[in-house]
Amino acid sequence: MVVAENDICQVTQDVWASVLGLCVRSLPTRAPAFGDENSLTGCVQITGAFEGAVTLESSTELARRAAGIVLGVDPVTTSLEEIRDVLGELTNIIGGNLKGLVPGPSHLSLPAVVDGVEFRLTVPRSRLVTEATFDCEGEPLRVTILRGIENDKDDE
Amino acid sequence: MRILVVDDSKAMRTIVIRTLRQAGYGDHVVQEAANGIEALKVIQAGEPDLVLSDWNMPDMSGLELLQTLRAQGSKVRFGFVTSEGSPEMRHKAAEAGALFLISKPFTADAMKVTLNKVL
Repeated sequence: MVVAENDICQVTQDVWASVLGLCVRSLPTRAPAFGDENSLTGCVQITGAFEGAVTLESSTELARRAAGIVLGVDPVTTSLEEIRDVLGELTNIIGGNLKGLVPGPSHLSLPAVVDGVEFRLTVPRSRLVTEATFDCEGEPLRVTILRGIENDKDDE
Repeated sequence: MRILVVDDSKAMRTIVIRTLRQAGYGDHVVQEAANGIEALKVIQAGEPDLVLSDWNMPDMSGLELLQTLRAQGSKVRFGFVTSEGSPEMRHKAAEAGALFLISKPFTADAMKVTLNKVL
């Protein structure tokens, strides 16, 4: 089972266009770390025939713009709670669509969102399977699929 | 006509309501509930013409909400709006008594086509 980078790109582009009306441009190389800027990471876990997770990392600026679009308000007026809600929902939609590409049956968790500066979200006992990095109006975005290492043993 | 939108995400409720408007259902009264338990109370107080529910919610999922309603004898028109649109999910939804499942992301046209069949 492999979910290709192309699959992530297609799903992310479709979701971003459909929900936000924004274009995302695939970047050929892994984007620089978010570093000292504020960022958010949304995560949904997949359990069942496939054990893993899908994460969506975004700069706070991009997430704020997304919240403004979704809620129909000036982005500067959005609260952190609203920004987290929107990023969580975008993670949920991307995760749900990518879940359709991995072995089933499986269950999608509720999204969790972390925000801050210079942090790293880890999912214990999992490894990175595929990732795709994007630029959206000058802001970075990254989607990853993680797979539980126990699944690797199932393939042996 | 009264439509109840059930989703634990305020952002998604906003998207669904906006899409309902774009699909031509802007004249209908739209109520919101943030989870299955809240939705159950709203429905028990006065059954809407249609329930649009997310699947995955804390405390009471959309599936549990539908199963509870059907067990209580409610025949309220019910559809799912969810990020998962696999054949398995659609089968589960239909088995439980849902009239349709709209998968996210969705367009106003897709919503219009689906809702026109049931309303």
